Amino acid sequence: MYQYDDYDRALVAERVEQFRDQVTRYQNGQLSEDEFLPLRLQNGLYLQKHAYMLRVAIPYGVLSAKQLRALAQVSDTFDKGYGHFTTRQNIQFNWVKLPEVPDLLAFLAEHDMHAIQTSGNVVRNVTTEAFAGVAEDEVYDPRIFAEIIRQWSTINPEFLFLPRKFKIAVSASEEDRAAVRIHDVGLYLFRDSDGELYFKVMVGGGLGRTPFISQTLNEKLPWRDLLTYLEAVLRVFNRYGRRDSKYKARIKILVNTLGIDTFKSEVEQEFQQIPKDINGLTDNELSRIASQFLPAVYETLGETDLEFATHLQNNEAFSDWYDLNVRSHKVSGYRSVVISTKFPNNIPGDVTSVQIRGIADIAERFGFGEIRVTHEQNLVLPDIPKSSLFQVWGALNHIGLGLANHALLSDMIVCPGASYCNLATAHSFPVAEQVVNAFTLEEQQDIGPVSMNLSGCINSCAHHHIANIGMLGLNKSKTDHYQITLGGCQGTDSRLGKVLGPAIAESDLPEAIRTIMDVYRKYREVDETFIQTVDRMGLEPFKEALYPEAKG
Amino acid sequence: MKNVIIISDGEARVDLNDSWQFGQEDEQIDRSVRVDEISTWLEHSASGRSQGVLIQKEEELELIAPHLANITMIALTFKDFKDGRAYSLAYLLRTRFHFKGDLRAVGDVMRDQLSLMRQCGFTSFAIKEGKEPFDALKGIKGLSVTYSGSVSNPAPLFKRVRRY
Repeated sequence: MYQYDDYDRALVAERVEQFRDQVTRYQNGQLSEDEFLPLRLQNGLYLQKHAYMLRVAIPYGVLSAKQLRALAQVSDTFDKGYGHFTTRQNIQFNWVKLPEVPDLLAFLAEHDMHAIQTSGNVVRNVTTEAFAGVAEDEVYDPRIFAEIIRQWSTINPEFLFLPRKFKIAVSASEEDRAAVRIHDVGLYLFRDSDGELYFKVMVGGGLGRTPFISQTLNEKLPWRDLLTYLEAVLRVFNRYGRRDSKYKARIKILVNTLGIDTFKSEVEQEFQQIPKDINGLTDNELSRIASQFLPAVYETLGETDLEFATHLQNNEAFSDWYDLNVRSHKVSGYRSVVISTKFPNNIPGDVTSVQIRGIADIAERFGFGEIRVTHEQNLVLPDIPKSSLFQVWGALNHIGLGLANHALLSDMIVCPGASYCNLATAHSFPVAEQVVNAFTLEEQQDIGPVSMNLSGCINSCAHHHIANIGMLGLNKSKTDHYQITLGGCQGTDSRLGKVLGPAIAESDLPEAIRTIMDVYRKYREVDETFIQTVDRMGLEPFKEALYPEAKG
Repeated sequence: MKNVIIISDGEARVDLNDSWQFGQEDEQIDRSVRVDEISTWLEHSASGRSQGVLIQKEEELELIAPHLANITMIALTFKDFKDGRAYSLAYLLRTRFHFKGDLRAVGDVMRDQLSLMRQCGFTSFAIKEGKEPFDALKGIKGLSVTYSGSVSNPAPLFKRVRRY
């Protein structure tokens, strides 16, 4: 992973002391609530229903075992012994106390971590896929460009008071596993026929109350111009984005109001006027950043392993886990392991400090001491020898993290909901658990891959719009209700789900999901996944089953 | 203006009796120290125009752009410190339109944003009423490491220093 140099370290350390001073001045009354608000947000600190919440940045979801242990210590010292991994590949601590936050940040800084720009109207944590660097289908390691963007956007003085938050994602593989198209700016890295690297730049994606899938802004941007181009996009957004309503301030609204062609020409005009040499990326800088990542040193391992084959043959639970939670790797003899943080074992994204330390140990013992956070709120051990998988599985089970459900119904993305969040209208976690518990693991395996996301309010933190089955919490006459959308998906051809019908009471939601699954199982053809059946059949059979009274 | 921080020759200092004054309808202020709104400024004949101009809105940038050689000071308004448009306008005035005079931040101008303003090309700061200018002076410096380039330091860190 990326190794800090003295500059990175100095910046983070100075920032902690700057914020410590701001906290003191706020406590002394020298800074008003309104003046302090954006300062604390830019340092990752929210005020939630019961306490402050600190969101710690995990740049593009990459962590070392040492950092993971530091996070475990944070959760024990400053929180209640657990942390919550987010869809932005960050981690949140829900019970921090304001006077302790500067010390917490100083502790993080000692481990080359920070909470800078994890909140506020700024460029947020740049994300990429969890399998960056080990995926077989990538053209280049997207983490290198994500790190370049991270540095450029961190405390960039012109862009710290944008109309609204700004999210960037990078994907460098054939399959988009980074939900690129729901980002304010999404970058697809590719090689042309001469092998040169370019970006396809997408703009204006975003969920929330007005969801949009992004549109193409630039078909072929040379990699050297990446920062100059981002500067042009952000300057246009900063100057012309709406500031009169929080709900109309994201770049998606500007793009949609102007139309993509007008927006594109604004950006192009700005881009042409910026001298390219200033921010132009160089071969040197690209290889310097790449070398800071300390590439993993792989052993030459064969694919043949009779002991492994015996375990697979004799142990059904291990074999299920292998089929679902283990992914192929670009290096022969290695695999990537997905650690599920989901129901029934965990509250989605919540991991205890004991589990966090356990994962760090496993990553060091069997891998290269590196851990990834996925945007589906799971964790990944990217480099595990195939011959160690059985032991890794055993060790994960020992800390309650051996759940074999990756990409199944229970691998839900769920927001924290109204128990924690000021914005949420519904409670999310309890009903999501009831939905999951309505299906045995065998049933889930029979149903196969399906994405089911549940957001507690229209802000859509759980990305319900791009789930095969989306559930949106509403509050009607004092009980939580959920509106169901069907047919959403992520990836290069992302689509937004469509509303099936009136919202369903919380208590009826598990049965409603069962009804939907029964329709799928009735109509599916051989090897057809849930989303393929929905695409082929349309919404009608699902509507008819779910709302029989509305028929005719 | 009262409570102004001025950067000159790379040093920032507080000036409690800065001579610039906003133009008033019923008061004669010499054009050399007067700051007029851009609409007023354009109404005057060339010889009566004030040396300072106040810009309050994004659209006014285009109006002032052709006249920069005749202006000594531009005051850019932060109506609300959370509205960051003036940072981009400052960048454009300095980098695109090559304005060489004093660029002053006025309005909701406070300590914790001063270093950002300085980096975007502001050279003086009319500190918000009720805020201590000597305390605000501490906000000019900011962090000693910046990754991106800016008006005050155009090259990004990777071109400014040798990082390996």
